[in-house]
Amino acid sequence: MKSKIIILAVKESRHILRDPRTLTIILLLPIIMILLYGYAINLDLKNIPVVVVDYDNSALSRQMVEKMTASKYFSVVARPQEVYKAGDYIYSSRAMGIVVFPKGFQNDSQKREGTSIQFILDGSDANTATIASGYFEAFLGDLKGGLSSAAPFSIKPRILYNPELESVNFIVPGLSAIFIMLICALLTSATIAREKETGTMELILTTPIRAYQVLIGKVLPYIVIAVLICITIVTFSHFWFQVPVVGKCVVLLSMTLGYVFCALSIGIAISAAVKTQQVAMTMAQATTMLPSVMLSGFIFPVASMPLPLQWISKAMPATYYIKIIRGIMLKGVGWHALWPDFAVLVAMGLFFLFLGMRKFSTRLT
Amino acid sequence: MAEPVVIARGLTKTFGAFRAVDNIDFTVDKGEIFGFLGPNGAGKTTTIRILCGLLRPSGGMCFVDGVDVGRNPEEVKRRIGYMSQKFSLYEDLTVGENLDFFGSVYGLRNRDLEERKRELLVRLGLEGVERQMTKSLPLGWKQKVALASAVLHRPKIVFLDEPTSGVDPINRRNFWTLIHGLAVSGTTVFVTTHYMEEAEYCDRISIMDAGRIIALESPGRLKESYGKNSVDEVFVHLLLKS
Amino acid sequence: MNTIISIVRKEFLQIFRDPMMLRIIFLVPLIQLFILGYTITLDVRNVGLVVRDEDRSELSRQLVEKIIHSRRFRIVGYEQSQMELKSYFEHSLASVSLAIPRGFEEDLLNGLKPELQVLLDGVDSNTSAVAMGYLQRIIATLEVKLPPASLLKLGSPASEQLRIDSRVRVWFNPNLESKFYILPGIVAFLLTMTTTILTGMGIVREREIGTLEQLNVTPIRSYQLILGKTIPFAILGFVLFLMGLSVVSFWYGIHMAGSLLLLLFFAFIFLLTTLGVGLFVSTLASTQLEAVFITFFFIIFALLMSGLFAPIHNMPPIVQKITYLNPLRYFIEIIRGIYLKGSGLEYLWKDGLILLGCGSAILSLSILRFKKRVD
Repeated sequence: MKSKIIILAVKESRHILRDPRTLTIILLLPIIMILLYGYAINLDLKNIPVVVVDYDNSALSRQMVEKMTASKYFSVVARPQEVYKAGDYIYSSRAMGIVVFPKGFQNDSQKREGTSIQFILDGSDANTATIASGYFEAFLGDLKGGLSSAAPFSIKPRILYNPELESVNFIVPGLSAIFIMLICALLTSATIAREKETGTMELILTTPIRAYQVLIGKVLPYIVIAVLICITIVTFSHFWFQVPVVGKCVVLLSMTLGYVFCALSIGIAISAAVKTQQVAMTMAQATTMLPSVMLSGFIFPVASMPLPLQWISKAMPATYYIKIIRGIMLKGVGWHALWPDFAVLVAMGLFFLFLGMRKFSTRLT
Repeated sequence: MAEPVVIARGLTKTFGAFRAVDNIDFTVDKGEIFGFLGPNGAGKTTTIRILCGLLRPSGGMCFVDGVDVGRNPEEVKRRIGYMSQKFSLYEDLTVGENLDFFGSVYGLRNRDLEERKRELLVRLGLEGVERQMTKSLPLGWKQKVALASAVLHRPKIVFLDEPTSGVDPINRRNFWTLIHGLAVSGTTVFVTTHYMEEAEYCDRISIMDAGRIIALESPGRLKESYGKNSVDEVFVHLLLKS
Repeated sequence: MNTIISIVRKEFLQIFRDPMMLRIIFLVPLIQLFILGYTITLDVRNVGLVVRDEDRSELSRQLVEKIIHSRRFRIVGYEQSQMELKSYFEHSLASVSLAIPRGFEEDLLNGLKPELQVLLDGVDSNTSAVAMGYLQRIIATLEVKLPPASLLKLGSPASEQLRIDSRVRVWFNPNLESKFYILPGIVAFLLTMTTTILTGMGIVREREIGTLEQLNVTPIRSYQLILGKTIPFAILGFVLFLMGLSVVSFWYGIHMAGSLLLLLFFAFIFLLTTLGVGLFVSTLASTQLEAVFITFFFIIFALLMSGLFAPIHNMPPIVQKITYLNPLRYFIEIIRGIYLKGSGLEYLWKDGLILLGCGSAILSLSILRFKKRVD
């Protein structure tokens, strides 16, 4: 009985190796995506382009501009003479902010009333603007050597995990969640639907093979592929992007299997319900891929979304797995902290499997 | 007075090393029903596609209605009608809409188009289905619609690639009556088929095998020369020989 | 001319008879617009914060009040010891912690400069950075009346202490809501998706069912076929675009600062590109499924490198150079410029020109590939 499953698995592997589309997805796509996401989506803020208008042109103001140019937070792209000229840079999006040193800056800074530097921000990119204004304050604070004029206390911030605040560490491991969902839900539902569509499923079922053997044999290669991809993503991101792996790999692997199980059941459930490949893929995309990318915390913080969307997020398996993979890789936690998430994945998996198996057997036998 | 509408001399088409059409010669006269027979993969469809300007010949030449197809395919398309092997009209349009579309593509307008459409619907026995969705018609009727759209613009010659495949015998016979009607009114018909009985309906037939023409005669003469009772038997005999 | 009109009419007939098609064209993008508007946000709200208040003074309570009041943070717990704080982070119950040391108020009033400890988990770097910024700002608003003796201790006039303050002003989006930034980009993205995919699919479908061959046999010229097949989707794309803009206006309440006409003009130029890509894809794919796949591939690239999610100036310089080749990047800049800054032709003509160039190039390339002859 076991060998029948192996036979089916081997047949399925042949299909996979001969289908250029599937091969591209499992081989080429992960690497491309890692590189793309790793480099393109960089939410870190450095080199914010600003222009400086220095009406004072004193030793002090020039010194400050030097420091600003040298800092890694800002990049001074131009030094226009007037503020309204500087405005052009903002309108044409060549700069995000204008720093203005008023006339008499150096002199006034020694006096009692003090003086101020104006920082005009382009608010259209709200996020960058918020962070930029924070940086500006910090920059100013650094410059004056410690405190701003009358702060009676200090704030000491410390970052627990991901100390350099590299967004690569945040985003790239999340790709595992997306890919496993892609492979285990999308591809499996498509391949089962394809057999139904071409009629070969019927043919197979007239032989002494049972439905569950067909299923297991079909999904086995995909499980292997999914795990391999996960390993590839983690290894690649560790060695190429220096994403830390603080926790234990064994734990990661076992929890990954839980997620794989869950994604597979979803794939099976979908394929049991549809007739054609096309519908299978569309459905899988709409219900798993897109929401996983948008609502799982992969890039966008779920806590900031309206409540109904937060609920949907709780229904996505990817949400839990992303928590798991980040927890293990970046925080170094293990079973003691993550077992509830693992349990949810397994429970979801069982639920969908049950749903799928029922529909599957009654449809065909 | 025989007037050649199609002339092929040394016509060849190769795909890489494979010779799909190997140096064939034939002529088709005006008003003739010319049948192109042969087993699958003999090169029939390839030949038709060259004559329609869909494929460029690798060697030799062919003229359709006096136009050099190799050099001037677009000009040829104005003068011919084509019915492909697979049904290729729009299933999600009605019969009338399909005819309107193809008619206007061939340059028929307004009143002209309306009248011609009426005429064909009557002639082909399609009145009453003008408003029906093409996909809801049985195969035999679909083929009639395809034929209608191929002759809307009164082409000199019409190419039919296995027009009756999959159609039941009675409807096949009816279809051939229509084809006869076309020929009588002066349209030349170039038809491929693998139903041997249909060969009997043609004026002349050519048998193609592995890219070459192995016979080119009227059905009667063919049966005579080989001493067989049906084209089918001649066919089998010739193929066994090669 | 008439031929083109016949083709366009046929396309519309087919489109409106196919319920799946209509759903994809109108329903799906609009739903996406509604939902994406809320999900694509880098705003930070509702951040889990755990407080360790060892002082329990008037001042410390005031501080916590202010934090709650800001509505940016959600206080998930009050703890005593350091140990327990850590577990909040491990279980992802909080991403920030604030520790107010014993004697905070007293030390403060005595000019001894006590230290507040803030821990951030840093995993979501964006949230952490922004949260830090908020926290700092909130804490800075703490009103403290210091007795003169302490003031003296803090502000020593003999030192090089410079009295410099900062004044921050925000142009265009004073409340700094990221939806202003994101939504116009989403509408642009939806326009791209729809027109590209549908054009590609539309042509490939004819190839799949065989009608393309039938069309090839007729006297239809290539340009007539291309125009006939792209015009309907261009029109639909425009309609969708307008619908999207209305949703942004009426549902999200974001009104355009600049000229709608100018935007439509640029959208038209942009369409040259999207239709061109759709056409190009149709020459590569033999089934509709393939067409969708290939298009998605192109689109994801375009999307990630367009500045829609992540600012371009963040990317490594090589990648930034690559984005110059991405037409979507320019269109997003244009739509944001018009929406948020009211930018006019004087600022955007360069982007527009580049878009025109891109579009013409892609379209010409695709047309060349798309020949009627099956050779």
